[in-house]
Amino acid sequence: MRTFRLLLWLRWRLAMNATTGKSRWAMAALTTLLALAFAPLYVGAAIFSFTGGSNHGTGALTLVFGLAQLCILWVSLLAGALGRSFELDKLKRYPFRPFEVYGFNLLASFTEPVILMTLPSLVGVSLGVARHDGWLAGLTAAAGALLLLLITASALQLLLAILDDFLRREWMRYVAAFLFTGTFLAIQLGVRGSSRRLADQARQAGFDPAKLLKDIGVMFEHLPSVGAPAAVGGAPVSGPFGEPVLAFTASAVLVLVPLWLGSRVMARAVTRETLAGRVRPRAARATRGSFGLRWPGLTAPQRLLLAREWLYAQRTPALLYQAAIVPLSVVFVSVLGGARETGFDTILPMFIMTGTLASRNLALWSYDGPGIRTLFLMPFTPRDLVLSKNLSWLTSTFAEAGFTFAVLTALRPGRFLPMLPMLVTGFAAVTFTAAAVGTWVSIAHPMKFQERGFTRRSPGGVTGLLAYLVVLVVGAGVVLAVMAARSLTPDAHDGVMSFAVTSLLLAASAAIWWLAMDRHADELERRREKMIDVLAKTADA
Amino acid sequence: MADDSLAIQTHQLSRTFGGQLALDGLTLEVPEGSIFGFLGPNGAGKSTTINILTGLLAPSGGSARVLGFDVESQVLDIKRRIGVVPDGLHLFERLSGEEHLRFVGEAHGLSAAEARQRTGQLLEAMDLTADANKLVAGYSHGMRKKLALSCALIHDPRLLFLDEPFEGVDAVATRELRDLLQKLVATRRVTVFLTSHVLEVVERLCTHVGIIAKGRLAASGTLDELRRGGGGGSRSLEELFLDTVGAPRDSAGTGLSWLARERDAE
Repeated sequence: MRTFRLLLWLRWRLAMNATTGKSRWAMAALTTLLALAFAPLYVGAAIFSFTGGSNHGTGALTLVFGLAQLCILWVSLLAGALGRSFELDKLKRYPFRPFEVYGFNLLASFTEPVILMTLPSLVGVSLGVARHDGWLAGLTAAAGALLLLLITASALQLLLAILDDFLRREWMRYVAAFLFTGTFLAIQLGVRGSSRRLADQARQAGFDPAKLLKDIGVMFEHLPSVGAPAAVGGAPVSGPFGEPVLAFTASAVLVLVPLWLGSRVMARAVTRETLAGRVRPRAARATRGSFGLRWPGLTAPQRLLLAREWLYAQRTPALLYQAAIVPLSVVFVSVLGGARETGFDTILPMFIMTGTLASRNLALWSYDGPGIRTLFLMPFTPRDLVLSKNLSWLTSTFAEAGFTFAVLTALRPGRFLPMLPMLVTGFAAVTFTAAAVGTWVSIAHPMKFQERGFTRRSPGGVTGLLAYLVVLVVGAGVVLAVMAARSLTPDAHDGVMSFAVTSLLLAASAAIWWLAMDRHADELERRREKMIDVLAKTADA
Repeated sequence: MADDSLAIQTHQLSRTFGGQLALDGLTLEVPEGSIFGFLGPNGAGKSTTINILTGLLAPSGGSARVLGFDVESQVLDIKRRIGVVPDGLHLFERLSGEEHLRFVGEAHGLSAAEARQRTGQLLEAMDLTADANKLVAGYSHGMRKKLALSCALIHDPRLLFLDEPFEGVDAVATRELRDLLQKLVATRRVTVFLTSHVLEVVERLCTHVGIIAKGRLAASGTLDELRRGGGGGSRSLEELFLDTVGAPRDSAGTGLSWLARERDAE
């Protein structure tokens, strides 16, 4: 308890000291806004759960529990929202047991937004059960819900501990990347396969929502992580978990084994080499000629800086992972979509591609870490520094987009080829805007990269969210402009008109990006001290 | 008015951080070709001074010239002519030692061939050839220090800024570094501006010493001048330093009564 109390106090102080009163108010306002924006989702789910509990009593538990767990797992893995409150590395010098730190992280993960958003449904179904079967049944259902959350959070924390351990070993990083992507894709495939099967069954039998929900509930019963806590909560579960003692034992095992295993994995991980040693020293090819890249139109300092960026990109696994995951996700989603032309087959890939733009360039200098100070000590102009960062990011983004467009076109030439000029120019227009926004955020709100896992690589908070929204709004603006132009043009000329509009927007966006370069350079000069302060700091909480 | 015989000249230089005065009207003169030891207790303003003189920090007030160039308006001219080994080193972790040196050489205007040639020579001189193709992330502290010094030297600077160059360096390397600096001053007429807490080394190496306390220059001159100003005699630099910054001679454990007591038998 003493450790828990201390860690709680530490977490609180770190959070308070890291923010100003003004930013706390801004954050609170934005959180409220977001909570209201998402309210239809979780309030709707809560009403659905309450109604289910009221009408079917404990019979509704399995379905609600299953959907809640699926939602937590899916969102956590998709958004990379896995988080640890404390890394043991920073606490290992103090006499804390790894088990206690791990346990604290587990409980702290209950404050993650995705878990908070499932709470109304779990409370709702418990209240519904109470209304149907009495307060004792309601309380039992709530206990089952708590077990469900513990099991889910425990599984996520174990996955995080294993990932972190893998990432500390050079070659295992790629296994970790595979594991992470594989887990995410397996859930996608599982959900997709089940929903298809259920949809087919429903189609054959005539659509009956009640039966469909019952079938889904039965499917969840067979999942130990749902069936066991649901049975503890009083749900009528068939199979082995129908026995309350067995259900409780299974639930306890599902919480305690990952807890024990996870804390051991975490404790072992911190005894591995530190971050610096983690990058395996390898023979770097001694290049002939200049260190700089041969890139026409650039000055010698700019070519040098670009060469350095290129080497850094190659040697930073997280950057490589980022560069690969978006095209792979887009291609995967498209392949899964099959050959049907639904409109979504073009919208979804474009949404993923543009939606991920802003979140990836909000911390352009973060990978330089302490090296930022050396960069500022050398005779480079701020404009050289800004331009080289931007060219590096744009090159990588356009290379990924080029690969994605090529694969999509190869998969569905009839569908994509006619739209390709419009899609490419439209995407490029958004990309240049994202580059301008991202550069500003990277300078105004520098963030040191925490090289752990695949998560939390953007500044987040008000600035991160606003930057993200700006890019989405610009993306939506491009779509609306194209739609407006098409509605004013005879159908036969839709393609040409769309291309003309996106080309115009691309020219405007590229011009803004170019003109903003000098302002960004001035900003970099002005914020140099803050950047050094944030990025070159060796001790961080 | 800039004085050509001075490598560094500051006048009433000040710098505040969030309302707190870190440098308080520092007026300092460092003669060209000297080895200037800049001493002071922790938090006295040594690193702030170096950061301003190397163009990393903007002063809040006053003026400073380095090699005749103004630190605010001619910062690129300064950066091309100086070499810096910063406190904490701050190298590019994901470049190899060889790549790092070539990058820094070319960034300072050396041709590719010249940068490559000097890289090889510096790696050899610093005994880093065997590790030249390893990433800096895998270097030990001593290797990093040598690499940082090589980076500071590759473009043949006229002025070297060394922030705590002897920190974490073994006795052999300290001796080598001391010899190298003396040779550089004697042959290339390089000016060296260094900070250090190792007063014995400073005493043996430096031709001039400046002592800063609470952001103000408390004393400056050759060692003999300082001794004369401090009452003469053959007092050590440590004694002079402690008297100048006003530190008590025996303050260990003051107020720590629980540490001063003998441990009870367990």
